[in-house]
Amino acid sequence: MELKLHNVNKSYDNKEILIDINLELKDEASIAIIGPSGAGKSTLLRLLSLIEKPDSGEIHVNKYDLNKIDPDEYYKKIGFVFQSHTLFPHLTVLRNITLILEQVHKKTKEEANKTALDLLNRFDLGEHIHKRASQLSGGQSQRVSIVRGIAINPEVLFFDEPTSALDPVLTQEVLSTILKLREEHMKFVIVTHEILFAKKAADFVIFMDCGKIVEMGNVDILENPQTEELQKFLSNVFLW
Amino acid sequence: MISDRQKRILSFLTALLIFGLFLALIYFAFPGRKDLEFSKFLPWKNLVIKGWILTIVVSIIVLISSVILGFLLYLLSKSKILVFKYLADIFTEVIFGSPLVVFIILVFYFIGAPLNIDNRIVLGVIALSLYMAPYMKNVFEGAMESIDEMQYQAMTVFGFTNYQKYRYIIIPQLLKILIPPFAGNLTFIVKGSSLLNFIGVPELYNAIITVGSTTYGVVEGYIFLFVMYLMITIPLIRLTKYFEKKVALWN
Repeated sequence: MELKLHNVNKSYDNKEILIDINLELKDEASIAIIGPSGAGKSTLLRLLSLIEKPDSGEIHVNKYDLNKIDPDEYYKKIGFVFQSHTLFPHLTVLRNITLILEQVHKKTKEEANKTALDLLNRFDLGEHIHKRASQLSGGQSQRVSIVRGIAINPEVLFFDEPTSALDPVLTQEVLSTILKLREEHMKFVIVTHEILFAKKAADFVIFMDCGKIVEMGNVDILENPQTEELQKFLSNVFLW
Repeated sequence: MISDRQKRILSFLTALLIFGLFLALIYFAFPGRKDLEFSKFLPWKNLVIKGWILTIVVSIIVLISSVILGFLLYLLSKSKILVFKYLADIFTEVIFGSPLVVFIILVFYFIGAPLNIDNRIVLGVIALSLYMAPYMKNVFEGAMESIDEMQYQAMTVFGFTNYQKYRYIIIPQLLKILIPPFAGNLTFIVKGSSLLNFIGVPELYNAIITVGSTTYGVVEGYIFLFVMYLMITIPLIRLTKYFEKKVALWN
């Protein structure tokens, strides 16, 4: 995937969340955004997925200029997995996926069902297709969210801390699913607290602090951090 | 061995039996029981049934109109224009603080006379609908809050149009959340409609009291009332519970 950000700024209520973000990446398959809480990671992800617009600056994802593209067109090209609880509670697992395929992507009922069933089976969710979100574990429901994200065959999949609401066991379950996607060459950007996971799953790592990109590079920077901030962040993380 | 289901049925029947015995006890302790003569009502049964039907019809109309008024009140209370919000707030508090019977009579005099409405049924419907509107407003408030903010974001990023959001996600969820409290409020309306007797609406209470006093069967009348209201409200309460269970399944 290609990412290009030029002087991107974003603030809420006069509080600067992202300050002059510049970035140019080509051909990265998987990108992890790490950093302490309040660093602006999730905000950056929301700008990349056009859930929100920057106050100023330019963002390109692949060939799309996010200032110019019609958001509804862009949303058809990307997938998004939220922190938690965004399966629609009144629909079954299967319908959560087929509804989007039928309504937004104009697939026939048969096509939508086939795509959804194939994916759910492939991710070992076949036995849950007729359940509702309330009948799933947190891990299962995040895995369904992931399947929902990839069902539309997106160019890029965005993950916003997909395991932050889960206990360690369920976290593993979800992280293995994401690793599986990597094996299948899905391109993704993930905001995560799981540094060990980032090491395994990401090609490229962006470390943010206080609204700025402090350090970024090949995943090796997690072994050999150059900046003091990243060193400190990593040592704090591994203390635990 | 008896199954769980059988055990529940048995316990339920036992509870019914205890109530039955209790009622029988009350009946036999009642000094005037020898004078009770329910068949007095037979010649008047058409009037009573008409009243019973009117109670049901009025309640359903009030349910619909108070849902509409309640929704408007909800919109007012969420308005960014503060005056609208306060109008809704004040109305809500005044209603919550007023006894229904007082409100009905005030509507009869102060809305009926100036607007020249002399149809008592219409006035009764107006009074009950206005009274129920704030309760319905609260129902809408609760329902809207129950849809998680994240769901709206998800709908957006999945590319749903506004129409699709409402048609497939928001309204189906709202309906399921709204139906149990609506059914609950309908029970409230049915019971409250008995107070329309005070402005002369010939609903069930009014009909039976009228027959009771002409036939000297006031006590029998109240027993009939007790049973006939329960015939409406118990199924409604069961229905409400059924819907609540269904909603709880996916919450």
